[in-house]
Amino acid sequence: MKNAIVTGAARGIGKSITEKLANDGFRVFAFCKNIDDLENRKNIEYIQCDVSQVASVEDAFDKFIKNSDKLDLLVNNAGIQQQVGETENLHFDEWDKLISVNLSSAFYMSKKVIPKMKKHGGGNIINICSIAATKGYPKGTAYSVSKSGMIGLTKSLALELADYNIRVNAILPGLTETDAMNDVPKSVIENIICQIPLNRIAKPVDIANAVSFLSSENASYITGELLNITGGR
Amino acid sequence: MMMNRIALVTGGTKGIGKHICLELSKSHHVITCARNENNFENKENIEFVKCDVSNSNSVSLLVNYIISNWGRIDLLVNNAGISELDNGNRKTIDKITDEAWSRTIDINLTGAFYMCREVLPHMKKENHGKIVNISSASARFGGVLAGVDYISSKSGMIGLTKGLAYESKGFNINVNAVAPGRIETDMTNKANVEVDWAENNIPLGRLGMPQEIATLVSFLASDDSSYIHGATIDCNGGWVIN
Repeated sequence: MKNAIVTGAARGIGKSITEKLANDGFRVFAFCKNIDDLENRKNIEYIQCDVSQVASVEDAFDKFIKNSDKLDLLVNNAGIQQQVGETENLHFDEWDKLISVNLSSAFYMSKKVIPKMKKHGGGNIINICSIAATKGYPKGTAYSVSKSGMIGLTKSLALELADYNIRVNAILPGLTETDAMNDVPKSVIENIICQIPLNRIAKPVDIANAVSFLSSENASYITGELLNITGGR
Repeated sequence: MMMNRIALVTGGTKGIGKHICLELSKSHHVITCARNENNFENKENIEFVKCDVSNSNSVSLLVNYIISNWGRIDLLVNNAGISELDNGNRKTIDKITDEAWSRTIDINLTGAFYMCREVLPHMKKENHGKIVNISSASARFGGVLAGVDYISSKSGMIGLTKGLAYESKGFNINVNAVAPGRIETDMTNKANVEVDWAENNIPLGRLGMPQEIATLVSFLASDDSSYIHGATIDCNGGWVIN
């Protein structure tokens, strides 16, 4: 059986990825900041982890290793949104928080899993970025920068790890239907949809399906790729 | 569920196209075309029709034939393409004649335009369709072996993809491109390349296999990729990092 770790697996895109991979036959270790209301079920085991804290990542990884020495897939999905606002008013603490939760976490996780993947002859890392990484995000500078950083991580690791048969790719979703969007006024969303050729925003399962494809043998020659899932914009 | 779906794959008698047909035939009835039947092997769910994609009349006849026999086209894969080398080496611009330029552009790019122009109205009528255009890694970084005729045609495929993605708004049609790196086919075997080229130049250390492009096309043909639209997806073993 293949093992996967998904970070930020409790809600939204991460939840959908976890369910899809479990359905694909992976044993999924779902790393979540808060696991109080989550119950393990077939192929899904929840492990408490604040991915922005090195010590917490170490603890969670120790728990994972008790189950298995082998890891086939890491999905760096954990992320938070930014309070939208002018950059001159962006607080240093807010900047640090965005960078550590969205970007440094992916580095900590990768650092932990790479030796396991090398040892077992290969693996797969998928980083969930955002089109804000390549297109910019006015008044969302910290978010955009954190996701751009993930692209650098993706490309560098793809080149560094190809010799070890470890593929590294990124997915760049457009605006996606999640709880994080509940606060966005309907009129704003409708205005965005008007500009999308496919006439809708993304669903979490659109992203999960792409993770499923990239993690499969069907994508065995794809590495260092940024896969845009935008509905045409 | 998808077994009744109809796919049209251009240039499917050999190389990458042949493997695209084989992969798609698991889920589609596949009609493929080429200028001649020489390399076509009979396989279940794959039908051959002679067509020169660079001739708009020939394209029109083919699409009319499919519509009258099968009723619709769910998937169009514009794969037909040529790449002319100079004795196995890159053909520099001074060696590309007017005729050679036209030959490459006509088959690789204009052929895809003719196909899209004929097929899109039928997809719009069904409110369903998928178009996959085969571009090339050379369009992403300038190429090593390919001449500017080939590179220009393959860059054009990306423009065609993006433009049609915008234009097909509201019809539930997905238009995407695939940019393969160097893949093991007769076309690449004709090139003068050192035996250890891939090992030294491709991060994954090997050429791609045609079926690795076919599985990507199959993903883009499936319902799993329904929100991927206007994208160009690289499949090159890490050769080109965009």
